Amino acid sequence: MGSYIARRLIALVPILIGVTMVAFLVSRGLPGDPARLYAGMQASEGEVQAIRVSLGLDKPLYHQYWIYMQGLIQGDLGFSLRTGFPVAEDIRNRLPATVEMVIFALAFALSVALPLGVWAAVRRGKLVDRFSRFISTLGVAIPDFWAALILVMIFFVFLGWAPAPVGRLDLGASPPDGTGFYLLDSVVRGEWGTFTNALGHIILPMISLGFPAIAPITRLTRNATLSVLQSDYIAFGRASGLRGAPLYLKYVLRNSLPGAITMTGLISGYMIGGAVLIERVFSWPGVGLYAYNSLERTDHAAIQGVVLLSAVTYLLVFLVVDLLQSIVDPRVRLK
Amino acid sequence: MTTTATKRKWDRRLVVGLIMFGAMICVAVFAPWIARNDPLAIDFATQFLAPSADHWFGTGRLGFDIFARVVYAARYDLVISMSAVLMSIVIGHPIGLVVGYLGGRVDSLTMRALDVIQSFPAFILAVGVLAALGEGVFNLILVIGFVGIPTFVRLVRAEVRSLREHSYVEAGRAVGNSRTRIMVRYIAPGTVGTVVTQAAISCGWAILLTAALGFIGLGVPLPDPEWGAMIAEGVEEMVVGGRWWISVFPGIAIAITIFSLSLIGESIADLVEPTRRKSR
Amino acid sequence: MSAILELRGLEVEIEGLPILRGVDLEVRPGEILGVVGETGAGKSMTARAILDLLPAAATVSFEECTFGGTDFIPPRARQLARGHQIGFVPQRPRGSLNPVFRVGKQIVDTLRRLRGMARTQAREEALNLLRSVRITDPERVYRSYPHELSGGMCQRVCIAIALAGEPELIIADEPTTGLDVTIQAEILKLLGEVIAEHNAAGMLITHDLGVVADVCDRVAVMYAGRVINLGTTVEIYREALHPYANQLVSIAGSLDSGGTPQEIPGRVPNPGDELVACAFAPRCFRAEDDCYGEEPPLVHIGGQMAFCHHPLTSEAVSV
Ligand SMILES: Nc1ncnc2c1ncn2[C@@H]1O[C@H](COP(=O)(O)OP(=O)(O)OP(=O)(O)O)[C@@H](O)[C@H]1O
Ligand code: SF4
Ligand SMILES: [Mg+2]
Repeated sequence: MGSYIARRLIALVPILIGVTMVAFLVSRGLPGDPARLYAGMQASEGEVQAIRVSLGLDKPLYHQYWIYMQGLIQGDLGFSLRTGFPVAEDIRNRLPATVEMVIFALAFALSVALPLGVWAAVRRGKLVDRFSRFISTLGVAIPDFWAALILVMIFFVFLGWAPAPVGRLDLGASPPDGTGFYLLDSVVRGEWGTFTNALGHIILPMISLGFPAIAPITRLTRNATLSVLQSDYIAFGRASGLRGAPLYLKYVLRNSLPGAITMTGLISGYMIGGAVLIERVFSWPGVGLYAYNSLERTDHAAIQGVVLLSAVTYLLVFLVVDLLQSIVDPRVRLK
Repeated sequence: MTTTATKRKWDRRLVVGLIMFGAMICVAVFAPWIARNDPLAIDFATQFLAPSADHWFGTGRLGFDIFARVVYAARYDLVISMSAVLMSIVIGHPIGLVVGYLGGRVDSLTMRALDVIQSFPAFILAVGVLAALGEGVFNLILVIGFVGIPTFVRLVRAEVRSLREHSYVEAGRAVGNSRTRIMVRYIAPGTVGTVVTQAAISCGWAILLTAALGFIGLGVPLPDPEWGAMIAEGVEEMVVGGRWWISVFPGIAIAITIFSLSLIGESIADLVEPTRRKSR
Repeated sequence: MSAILELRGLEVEIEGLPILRGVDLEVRPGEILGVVGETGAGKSMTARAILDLLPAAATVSFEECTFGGTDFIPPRARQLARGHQIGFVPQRPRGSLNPVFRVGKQIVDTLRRLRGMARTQAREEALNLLRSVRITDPERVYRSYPHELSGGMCQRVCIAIALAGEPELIIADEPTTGLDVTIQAEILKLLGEVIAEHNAAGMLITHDLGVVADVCDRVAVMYAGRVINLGTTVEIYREALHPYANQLVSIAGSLDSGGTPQEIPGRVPNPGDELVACAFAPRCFRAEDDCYGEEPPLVHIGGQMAFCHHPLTSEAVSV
């Protein structure tokens, strides 16, 4: 197991280097003058030249990459023009909001998709199955940010059940101290008012972000379950008296899980992107909204910081997926 | 018995998908005849009107007629997404063909490069590149086409690697055909089915990406209409003023278009797959 | 001697095709009944019908089905028998163990399910079961995943699982296919021994008539969805009444000039084929007109029964 993790980590290194190179090229190598972009359109030619030198942009590209990497290793993603803070710090402050939302969205999607997938496979060709296939096709077709708006329209504008889509808490409510994960912090501190407040705010973003993930996870779980149901070990389990809920929930679902985990990893990549859109709709003060606001103000260092971090996060997610996979399916460790 | 029944069902899905998508294409082509109002006419006298006989989908902040804009936006969204997919295929297909057939060093290098590109969530990569390139229809096509390339490379490569071992390809080699000729004449035709299926799916995905980029202001610049950007125009109006129509209709247009494309993609996939399984 | 399992007139149809066309057989306490016949004869289907494990599309009917005196016609009764009264040993042992759980856990789960044991007690019992199937290092096997074990070892584990519910009957469906020849013999010997040790009865489905001769007390010969000949192993091997059984035995183990195992000439009918009164008639060297026109009668001689117009004996007495 330990050597398995080590191998995975080593395999990650070249890809990480590649990722930084792409991120570097996107921020420096594309047409347009990064110094000009960095300085802003109002800056004088002299100021731009000064920035060019201070960023090392007068040096050859490989040298610039070297400087860039040195910064990166120290966690330096440059300064945000808009906030005036280091990008790394900005992102760190906003990360819990995004992570909390993504985790809720994933949990929501999985709790719907896994049972639905198993159910659809067991009742293959029946109503549930066709219903889940219809939902799948529909789920792909509906843009998540639009679905978010429709939810806001129904539950906030028309019904008034949901809180206003502005942030993680009601206006004026003060966030709980701690990690920045409001739901966790409020539970730890026993601030139940804050907890329900935060919970009310996270429900619609959770559904909007999780909704598009339901379709692919359901479909994958269904197909995995179908092949598990036809397997010799389920036949033998049945012949040895395994029936009912334990059969489906303990054995069938457990064996269908590896596929669902991989798909969930892939989906989390969409979620990292989707967070930008959903946070925009709900004014959710996370990394996505930070990226959106940076886009509006063409704050390049901030944008590229988010881009790079997304890729690294995505890679880490896949590492976690591989590890989970090797826990869930002992055969994986051999490969 | 069951097989014919299922087959008929797939055919029906294909027909429905083609009709819906065809209708969307017609909307784009015949936009001036369908929408009587000017999609770009700014008129504050008609600001924020709810849907009515004059303005079927209502009007927005600048008094734009939303129906006209939804109709004209079909041109932008369809042209952008279809061109982008075309670009992905034109670049991705030959790469997949060559690396799949040759294998070895070229192949593993290409795959590592794709691994790197696909380490970025597609939407985020598009945001990053587009933010650096600047907005505009051409750049949009370029970027969406670019992030779509890996899918086609992988798809074609996988297909080629299985076709490569086929007896008729062996036979082609034995008769002394050149590598290029084998790739083009013997192998490429076998990849058409999967590529067409993926093209339909990718097209839906490209529309989603176009709209998502438009939604965060990285798309077609105003005042030109684009579905995603139109949805964005309505966010604050919906939350603050309850003016739901500004965002709702463009979203429906997106959903219909992508729904029809996934119907097409799925039914072609189901048609293509049994024959593939047989030929293996 | 009253039978432990008694089946009369078992019929199974799948999507309108007759798969079993009236299977009659009984298993007696303490004996091992061999079930033989060419591929497609319906051996596995018979076993699956007994455990109510037929495909969803199947319809099943019995004239009679009793197990140890209780009525086994209601599907519920057959479902509840799985593991408890009837243990099952599968065909492909490696694929039949769940790949994601350790072997020990799978046995423990079975014990907890079937015998309601507490976890620690089940662990002890699982190790005992592993020992009872002659596994010399039960602790290691207990901790292993199925993919870490050989096919023969997996089959021992499957047998242990089949024994877990202390069944009165063990049904084994070609338990040695895919295993090494040397291992095959070991597993069969083991199967015979554990059935005897647990005072159970056995039903052994196999292609291999050599196996039957070694292990089984009686033999049921199946053809086209029916048991057409049943008798003691000695009877079936020495003086089978039914021409099919007779031919099957006489060519068993012999090779043709090309070195491949010999086969009875002609084609095994598939479900749905048009059948004449005796399904074997087109291939039978003793067939006469009545074989095509009239249902073959049930013939009893000694301990044997057979469905045949012209059984291979002069003193045949029709009933
Ligand atoms: N799921 C199924 N659906 C329809 N027909 C089936 C199914 N499974 C088996 N059959 C048919 O039922 C008949 C009996 O099959 P069965 O598996 O009982 O044969 P068998 O005697 O066990 O043969 P083998 O020695 O090959 O295992 C065969 O003709 C087979 O084609
Ligand atoms: S009934 Fe006739 S055809 Fe059938 S086995 Fe007996 S002799 Fe042969
Ligand atoms: Mg069988």
